Parts: sequence; structure tokens; C-alpha cells
Amino acid sequence: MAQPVIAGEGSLLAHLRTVSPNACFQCNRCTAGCPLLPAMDLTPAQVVHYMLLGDWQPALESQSIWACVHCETCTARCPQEVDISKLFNLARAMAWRSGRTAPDQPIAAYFASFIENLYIYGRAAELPLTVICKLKSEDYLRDFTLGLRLISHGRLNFLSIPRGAARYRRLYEKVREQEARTA
Amino acid sequence: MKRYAYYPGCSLETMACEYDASFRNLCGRLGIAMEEMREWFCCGAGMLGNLSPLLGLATPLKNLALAHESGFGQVVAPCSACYSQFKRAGQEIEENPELRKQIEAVIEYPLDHTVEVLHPLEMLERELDGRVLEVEADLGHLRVACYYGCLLTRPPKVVNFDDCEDPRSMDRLLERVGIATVDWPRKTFCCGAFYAMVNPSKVLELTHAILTDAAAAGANALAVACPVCHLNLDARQPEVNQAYGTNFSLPVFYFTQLLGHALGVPAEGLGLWRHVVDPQPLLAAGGALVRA
Repeated sequence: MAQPVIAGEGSLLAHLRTVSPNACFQCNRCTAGCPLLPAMDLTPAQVVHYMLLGDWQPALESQSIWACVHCETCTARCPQEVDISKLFNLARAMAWRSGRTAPDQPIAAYFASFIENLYIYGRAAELPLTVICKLKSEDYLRDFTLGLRLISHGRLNFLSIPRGAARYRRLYEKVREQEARTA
Repeated sequence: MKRYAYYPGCSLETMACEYDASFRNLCGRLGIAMEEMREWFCCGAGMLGNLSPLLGLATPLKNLALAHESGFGQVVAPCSACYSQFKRAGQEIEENPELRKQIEAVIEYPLDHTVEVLHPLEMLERELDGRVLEVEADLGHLRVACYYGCLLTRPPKVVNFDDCEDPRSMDRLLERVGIATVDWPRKTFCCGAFYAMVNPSKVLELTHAILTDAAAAGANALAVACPVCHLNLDARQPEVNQAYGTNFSLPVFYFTQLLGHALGVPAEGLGLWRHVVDPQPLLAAGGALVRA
């Protein structure tokens, strides 16, 4: 299977050896059950088929890999035991690392915000996370009333104290070192 | 007595604090020892894998290692996302020795131990097996649609939880305290999860379908076991009504709130006021306490 070569991908390639699209026989059960299909350009079965052909490019450039929320319906139902959800996850990691701009900017902004937020707080702090995400996606008004509703029911903390951040950062740095070695 | 390590997860500190409170109080009521892990951090919620698959696996496994280090053999994770992250990561290292070595190096802990990861539903079914429960509040007027969502049940080979297409464990627990549940087709359909952050209209489509089916099956409430399901079904219910011209007012409970209420946890320990669709009138409609 031809795979895209990306620098510093030691850990990614270790994953790819355990997950393969090759058993797919295009029954389209993954596509039939996908709840996010309306938000996709390629169907899950098409994404898997491109991977099977070794032609990762269309998969990496698709909207589909960013629309997947990993509900695992496809993986659970695949009669050939292809872990489609994991393939989507890896495709996204590859697309991300190779500096491709996601066609779906807001979701990429959300992922980036989550990851940055974690580095600061160690635990996901929902209010700062929302603020970072809004600034990144330059979309300030969406879900504004939802936010107010949550605040009025005491379900958003205004004060987020970093806890567990030191442990998380140590782990983060260790992973960086490890990845530099396996590159 | 068995000691469980409790990994609340980030959402149970903020958005789903009533899930946290009702679960802790329920355990207290039942005499189950639940000890919050010290120094836990986020499981990554599947987001870190986008940056680095290694980091995505090392993060949940480091948390399990912390539990093991403190002498626990079992970790209880009430959030479906955390639960799924733990289970997925555990499976990955079983299948991939090379990866396991890399992860042991970064988490600075050997992975030769086994820490069992349990969802509260699994833990409660075990703990309450054969036990006589004293029901203190009659909730016989409820017709609950149990909504299991995605990550709790799938993929079955990884989580090994109940039946992945027709789970029954939440139904069984609620039925044991005299709450009727309904049979309905959308128990494990996705609610759209975090995609709501990006494209709320897609998520409203999914939640609308879930609410519609629950109501059609005769349910007057839903029960969930995941903070994100709760957010999408409860806090976005006004948006669903607005977008579809519907008139839903279906309270969405965490199953721990219903069990707690039935088994005599005081109302202030359940956080019911935090819900957007106020569930208190429905609970009060049944009214009378069985035991005053």
C-alpha cells in the first residue's frame, strides 16, 4: 500500500501497520449508517477505497475526514472489520501535519483550540476553550444564546484553574522527544 | 470493601457537574467507595490524535498508570468519551508491541499491569446484582427512553459493553427502581457530538430525529449517560423547537439522577435545576414519596 511520506511520522506509521483498508469490498454499510454523511463530500466507502488504491491524496483533501465525529457506527458494522473510524483519524492527522488547510476551517479551529487549551489547563476548560475557538474561527455570535443558557444554569465555570497541566506538559514534551527520535 | 478510582473527566467539572454530583451521591447512598484520582488530567477526548496519534494514546494511558500507581485495579469513567479513549488505548497497546514500547517510554511507567475501566452503568449493574433496593420515591409515571449514544457501545470489540445495537443495561437499572422504559429505535444513533461547535444545523437535524422518535415511542423523558449527549439533547432543545417548529419539552436526565431520586438522594444532591428543560415538574407530578 502506497503511503504518503511525512517527516516525523514514526508513530503514525506504527499505527498504519495495524490498520488497513485492504479488506474493504465496498458493501457501503459504513456509508449507509453514517450520521454525518450530509456534511461530507466523499462517502466513507469512497474515502476507504481511495486509501485501498494507495491514492491518499483525495482522501486527505476531502471534507469528509473533518466531518467525522468518530461515532464508530461504521467500524462497529463493517463486515470486513476495517476500522474506518481509525483510518479517518489517521488521515486527519496526516492532513494536519502536512500543513494542508482543512476545507472545513471551523472544525480545524476547534481541534487546535482544544489542544492549546489543554496545554494551558491540563483539563479541558470549557469557557476559555469556547473563547479561543471563537477568536480563531472569527465567529462570535454562533451559539451565543446557548452559552447564556448554560451560564444561567450554572454550567460554565468562569474561573478555570490549571490542574494536571504540569503532568500533561511533561507527557507532551516526552512525546515530542520520542517523535523526533522515531522520525 | 472494593475501592474504585473515580476519573470524573473534564466535563463533569463544568458542563455536567450535575452528573458528577448525582453519581457521587448515588454511590454514597449505596455505600460504594468511589475515590477521585489525584492529579488526573484530560484524556484527550480524541482530539489529541489529530496532532499526534502517539500523544492521543499516551494521554489516557498515563492517567490509567496514575490510578495503578495509587493502588487501584479499577477505574470508573462516567463520560463516554473518556471511557472510549481508555478502552481504545488499552486495545492498541495489546495489538501493537512496538507502540507499547514507545508509550511506556513517554509515560514513564510499565504497561504490564491491567487496570479495568468501567462505566458507571457496568459498575452499578455489578454492585447491585442480587441486592434488594429500597425505593423511596415512586416514579411509576415516568416513561423513559434510554439513550446510550455512540462511544459507550461502539465499537463492540473495543468497549465490550452490552449489546451494541440494542443495549439494555440502563433500562434494566431504571426498571429495578420502578421506572418504566420504552423500546425505541434510536438508542445508539449519534447526536452529532462536537460537530455542534461547527455546524449546529447538522446536529439539530440529528437531535430532532432523536427527540421525535423518543416522543413517538411514548416517552415523557430521556435518560443519558454522556455529557455531550446531554448538551445536545437538553441545552439545544429550544433550538430544535425553533428550527423545526416543534414543541418539545422532554426532560433529559442523567440516569444517575433518576436512580438517585428513586433511592432517596435528596433533591439538592441531584442538580436538577441545572437543566435547560426543567425536569422538576415531571418528577413532582408523580409526587408522593413512598416512604415519608
